[in-house]
Amino acid sequence: MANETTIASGTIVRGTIEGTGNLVIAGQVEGDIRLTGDVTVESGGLVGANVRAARIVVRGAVRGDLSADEAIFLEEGARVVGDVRAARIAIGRGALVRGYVETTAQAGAATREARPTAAARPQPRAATPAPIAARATAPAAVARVERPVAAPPPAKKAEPAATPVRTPMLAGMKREPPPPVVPALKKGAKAVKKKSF
Amino acid sequence: MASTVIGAGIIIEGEVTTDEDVVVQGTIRGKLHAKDGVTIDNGGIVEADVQAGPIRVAGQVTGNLTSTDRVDLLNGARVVGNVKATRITIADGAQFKGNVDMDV
Repeated sequence: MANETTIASGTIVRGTIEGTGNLVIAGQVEGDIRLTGDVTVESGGLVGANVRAARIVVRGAVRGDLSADEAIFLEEGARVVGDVRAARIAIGRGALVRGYVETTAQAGAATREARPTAAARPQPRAATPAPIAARATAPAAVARVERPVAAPPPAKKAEPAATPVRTPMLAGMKREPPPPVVPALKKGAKAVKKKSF
Repeated sequence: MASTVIGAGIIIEGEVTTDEDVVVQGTIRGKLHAKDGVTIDNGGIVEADVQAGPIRVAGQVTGNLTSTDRVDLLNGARVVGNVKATRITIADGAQFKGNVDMDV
């Protein structure tokens, strides 16, 4: 037997869930989850808890920290508020994350995984966070000299103008969660057709 | 819609509330409220008060069973606690210690 646990959509669990085997959540769980198997939060599933498992797949909503020994997959429809830690993290198109993301195993993987996180949200300024972080250690003057050699790929658009703006922004971006992606609509605002660029 | 299954090897400490069927193969400690049926399979352990529709027990229950419909204690069941339901069957091989209230 596959040793599978299912929390169906009409089910609410308040309390801790722990043990072995896999867990599929389509309902609601409030309380910590600690498993040695895989945890899947289906779309429509609500988890208000810290989750610890071998692998975590999210297509629903999670408020709490996720940490997996192997991998975390945030797929379309995922809404995560909390820190995400795993050896491998995949954030797919249409997934929303608000929190600190860390790939714990290799440092190289961390910068690689940081990019899809930022790309998932519609913010133009967060397009290339990884190269900035790599440059952060060098002083500004040195960085300006080295840039053509060190990091040619991000030098595509408006390089000289961007340099002074980017450096102070770094301090804010360092370890804090990114700003919310929800656009604030003013009262009585009307829909306006955007002009094409 | 698939019903809720608490698989073997899983321990839930707390409260489980559901509108659907529940199958317990693992362990629940706390409370179990279901609008529909509850099945405690062989190997399942419930240390909780259970309130549900039809209840079928083939595992181990410590706590009171309250059903709006019926309670079936199957072969291999081990129940310590009071049972309140309109209809009750206790199969040969079931162990039971507690009061029975059939609401007459």
